[in-house]
Amino acid sequence: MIEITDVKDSRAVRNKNNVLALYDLMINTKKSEEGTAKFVSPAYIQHNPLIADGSVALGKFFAQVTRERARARVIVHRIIAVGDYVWAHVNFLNLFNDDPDDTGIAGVDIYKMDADGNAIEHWDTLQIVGDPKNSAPMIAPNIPRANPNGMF
Amino acid sequence: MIEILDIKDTRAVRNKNMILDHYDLMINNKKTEEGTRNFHPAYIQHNPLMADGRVALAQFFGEIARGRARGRIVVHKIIAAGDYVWTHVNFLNFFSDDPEDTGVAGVDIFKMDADGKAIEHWDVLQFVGDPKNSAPMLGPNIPRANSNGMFEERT
Repeated sequence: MIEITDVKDSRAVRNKNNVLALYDLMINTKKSEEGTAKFVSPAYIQHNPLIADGSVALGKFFAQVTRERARARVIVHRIIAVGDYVWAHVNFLNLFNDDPDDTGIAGVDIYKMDADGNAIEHWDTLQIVGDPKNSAPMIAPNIPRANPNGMF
Repeated sequence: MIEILDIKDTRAVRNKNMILDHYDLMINNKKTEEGTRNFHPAYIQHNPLMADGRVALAQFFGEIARGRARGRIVVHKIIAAGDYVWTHVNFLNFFSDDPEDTGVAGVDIFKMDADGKAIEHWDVLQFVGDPKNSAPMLGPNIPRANSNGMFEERT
């Protein structure tokens, strides 16, 4: 994981650490509602179209995913934090299937944090990763990759 | 547009300005060669549909510029620190001429070299759809679970 923060920006460092702790609790250790209660404001404004506003809705969404999918996990590849914002480039794996070869979903999560270091607003973009022979499944099947560099 | 950076981080300020200039020239003004002047010839591309290098980037957007008169980009947020610039953008009318197109939401991640040239790029792209069809890449006609849109800032 690459961390992009000015270590002298103590608010950004705290916020970055809180977001990493949130991912770990909410997804990797399957303590979703504990994670969202700890690091997400009740008034959390959600821009992901599939999830309702609020920390409770977020906790419930991931509680269900992590109950149903034993292998569900997130890998954070790079994270940047400045002031009140934390942006993370991640790979969600096995959120929607149990295939050990799942390549999952590429995402960038954008969090805005309040003065206490809790997330108050969130935007994301998500893209199904596919594989080198099927590299843009959201556009059309079986488009080969134009380069050998992978998504992350 | 919201700009997120420390104005004392002169490298980040320079890099942020370069990327905004790049978008404007390459996409909004359709000057694809000029718009990639600050991209390294050895630019490493992680978008699966484009080959490595500055030339391939200019060719890809040159084709869109010629084919789509309305093709444009709106930058909603940009964050920069050290060698990195990340942007939250809306690509519009890249794949249709519909004036009501809601386009593609994207985050672009650029890594810059010491001279302020882009040397590596990752992105994540998603069709925006509309409130009644909010996740077209997953399935048709899934309504939005909230009223906040993909880009607006409410806090």
